[in-house]
Amino acid sequence: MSAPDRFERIEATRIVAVPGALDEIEAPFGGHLLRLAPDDLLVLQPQARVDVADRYAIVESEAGFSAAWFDRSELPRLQALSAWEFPRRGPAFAQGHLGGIPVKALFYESGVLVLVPAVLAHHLEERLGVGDRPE
Amino acid sequence: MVLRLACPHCGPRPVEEWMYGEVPDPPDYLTEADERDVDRGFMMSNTEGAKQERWFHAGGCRRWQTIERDTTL
Amino acid sequence: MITITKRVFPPRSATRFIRKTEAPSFFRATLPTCDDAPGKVIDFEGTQVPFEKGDTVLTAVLRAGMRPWRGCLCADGDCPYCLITLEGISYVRACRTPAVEGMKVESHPSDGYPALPPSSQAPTRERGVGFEMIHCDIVVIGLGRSGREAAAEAEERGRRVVTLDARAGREAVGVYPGPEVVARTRGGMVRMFCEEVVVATGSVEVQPVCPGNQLAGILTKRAAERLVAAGVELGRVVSVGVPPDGVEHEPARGGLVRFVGEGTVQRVATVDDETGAEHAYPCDTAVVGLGSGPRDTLARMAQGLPGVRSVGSVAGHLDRPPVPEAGVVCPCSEVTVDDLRSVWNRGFHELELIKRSTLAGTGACQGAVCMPHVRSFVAAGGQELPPSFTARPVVAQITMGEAAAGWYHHADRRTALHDEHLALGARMERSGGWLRPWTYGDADREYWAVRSGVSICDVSTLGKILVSGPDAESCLERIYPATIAPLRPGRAKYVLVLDERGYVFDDGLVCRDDANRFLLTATSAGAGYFEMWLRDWADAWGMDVRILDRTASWGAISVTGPRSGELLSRLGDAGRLPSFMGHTEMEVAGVACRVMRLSFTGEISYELHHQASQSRDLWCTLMESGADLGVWPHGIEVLEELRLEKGHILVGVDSLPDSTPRRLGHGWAVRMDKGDFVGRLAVARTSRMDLDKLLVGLEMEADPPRKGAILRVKGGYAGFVTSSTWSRVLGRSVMLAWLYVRDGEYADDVLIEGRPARRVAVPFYDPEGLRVRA
Repeated sequence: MSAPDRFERIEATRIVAVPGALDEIEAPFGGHLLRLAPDDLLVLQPQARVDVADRYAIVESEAGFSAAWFDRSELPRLQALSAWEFPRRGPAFAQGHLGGIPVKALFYESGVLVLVPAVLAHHLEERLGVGDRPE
Repeated sequence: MVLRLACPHCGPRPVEEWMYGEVPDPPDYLTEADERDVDRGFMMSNTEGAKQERWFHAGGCRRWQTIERDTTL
Repeated sequence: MITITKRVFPPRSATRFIRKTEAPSFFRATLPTCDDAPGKVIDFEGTQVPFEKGDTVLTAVLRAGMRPWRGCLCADGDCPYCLITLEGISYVRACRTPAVEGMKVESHPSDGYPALPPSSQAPTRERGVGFEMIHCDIVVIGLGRSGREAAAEAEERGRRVVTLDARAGREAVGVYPGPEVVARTRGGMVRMFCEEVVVATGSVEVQPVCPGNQLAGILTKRAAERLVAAGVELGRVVSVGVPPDGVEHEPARGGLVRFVGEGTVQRVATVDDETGAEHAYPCDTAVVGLGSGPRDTLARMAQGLPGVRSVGSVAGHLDRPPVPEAGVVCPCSEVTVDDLRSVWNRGFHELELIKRSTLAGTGACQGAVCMPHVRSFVAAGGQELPPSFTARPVVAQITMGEAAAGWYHHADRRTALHDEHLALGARMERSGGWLRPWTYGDADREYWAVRSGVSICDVSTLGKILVSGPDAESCLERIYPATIAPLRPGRAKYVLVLDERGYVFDDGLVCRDDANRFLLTATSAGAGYFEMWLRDWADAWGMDVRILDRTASWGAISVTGPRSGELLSRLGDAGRLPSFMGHTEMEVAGVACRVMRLSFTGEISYELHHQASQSRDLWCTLMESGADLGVWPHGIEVLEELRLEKGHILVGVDSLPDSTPRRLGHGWAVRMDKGDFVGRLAVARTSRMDLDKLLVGLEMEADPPRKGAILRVKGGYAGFVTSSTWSRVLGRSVMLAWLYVRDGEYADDVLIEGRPARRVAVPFYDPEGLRVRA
């Protein structure tokens, strides 16, 4: 089964700090870094222990996203719902509208991890036909 | 149909992802502070040609970007 | 609601549409084909018309000997004559519609207004028009010789090429900046994003303009060639101008004068250029070869767009037709040569003006028939051949469903408690971009739970923004008209948000965590805008701040009512609960919360902000632990009543786009004795002006007036109601309303919907605020 059943809320860590401080952060073991903005970093690990060289940094648990994994075979279907072109090769991070919903996406050779604000996840599921597709 | 704006962080994205922000631009012939202030608050400059605009990338990095756009294209 | 209908056509070409890309495509969709057609029929206005493999509706109907279409048919999608109504969809061209077994076709009504489909055809998701987006390097529009060459050349260079060909059912309808091409296909609408567009749409034949040109039985040269090749019998053919190839015909000498016949053409009259003598040629079919011009609607639409170029005949010249002397020039808008003369004599001498005054060129064919003749007409008036008029999207008639394809309904956000609300029987309503519980079914129970017991409410939708940094305090001082510096850590303050014009567009709280860190709240509907506002100003001022929007990441539950403290003390350290307008971090039922004590309802209220992933646990625990206290949630309907009794304004509901703090009665929330803030200059200016309107509290007996009901003073207009409710606790109706100054004063007594109302001080309920501080 290459298509996910649904988007699941994930626990992550969000760090807002001066860009220089974020540049120095290395991905914790098993975690991934998504640079949402020059001063905004999403660490795909709950309560990630990272040192941030910015005494005013905002470091918060992030429960606002839901995520789902789509295999490579699903990519063309997703691309047909996006007005911007997916990265040609992974791993790469990209963000923008997918089916009219703002998403964050981590592209790998084997597929893509799509993150969506949990408050909009039901719309994205509907628009991508997640969990509501013939076998 | 699609206006594409190049986000310095996210790359080129269609205008649907953005929110527009006018950069107030009182004309030079308004010299009095009061007049300039009223112009800033109430008048859109509606420039023809290249123009600096603020665009908020709501569907991506959620940051303001200052982008020069040719309004005639 | 838009009735969305779907065109289902068979593909006429099995050519792979996209090469070197993996994108799924409508162009490869499996649709019914018209292979092995023998014996199959379409229904044309009740007549069973047989068709052959490869037939269009036009070919099949003409082959059957019928002549239902007036005018000079082009059989190539340009003229407006072969329109049909197909399965309820009008403005479909018969020459572009492959015949399919059982297809039900009616000719398009001659007056141009097809009947609306019956209202019983409810829109359904299943009938939605398909939509997809494609990213490629080059889009080639038109697969004539130049188009094929351009495509082949680009492919050799390894570019990703997409080709469009209207004859194969892949019809470009618009070219936009980007460049972007929008096409209609048999599977739905496609948006193509590319670096280059090659317009190779070829040429369009010049149509005859003369008396009788609206008779049936006239064909262009290329149409005759194509139809004869498809085995259509044309009977006795007379040709005018360049003769058709491969068609048996009698050539008519001289220039075309008129077609004669009743309904169908029976004679063609020509005039000898030298002698001036007229000749008449009896015929069954008249074929005209008057030359051609560029089929350049798309090219003109894309004029000046970077990345778009035209190749082949579309970039060629127009075989300028003779100046029209009589007959219909524009069949779509029924414009005759006399009409052109009439507007010309009234002073409309430019192509664009003639188009606007006669509507020539604005119909189904978008000028394909009339434009060469109108241009020639203008040139005859002593001017040069004017360039064709501007083309706008779309070049072909598309359905509302096709226009709407790919556009989504606005996405309503759902809080983490959505399912809990549904389980409690809530009726959900859209509010400020969210779906929120309007009521759980018993407003009385919800109301009294707040006023006399304890109630909970999902307020996760509130805007919540963290601000941190060395400039955080000074940034907020300049954002808000209130003073921020005196605010101590652990305390909160009500603030208005003003724009540069001094108008209130949002309100909320500022909660101070420490010297350099704050939590700001904003209205549910205004949170996104407020975040933009804050970031824009922070950028403009070069403030060293970090901003993080927590609106969608944190849940928030309001625990309110005289027994709210009692409920919370069961779930957390009661000694740590904050005092009024205070906030603190503490655990409630094992969930890490920021607890704020404030009041929107008029009772003691605690807002519990927490990670959205824990909303359901917290909500359920509150419901269970408070069961013996009668805890019951309240929805937005009751919340509106509660806040109105306290006279709290809802920005965007009670405020107007020009509401200054003074007009709202919130002058106290503006401190002019502090430094600069957004809107300060405007507030200083407007406060010197007379106050012409005021948001006031009114009360009246019996039922509340409608929102928007008009206030009258001495029979004259004096404002309107913005919010109104029957107050269960006060036993009368209370409302907020805009009251205009009349005769230099604000009236104390007004008439609303014919009933008296009195102006009273707000809050209506617990004016001293004893309950919220208890």
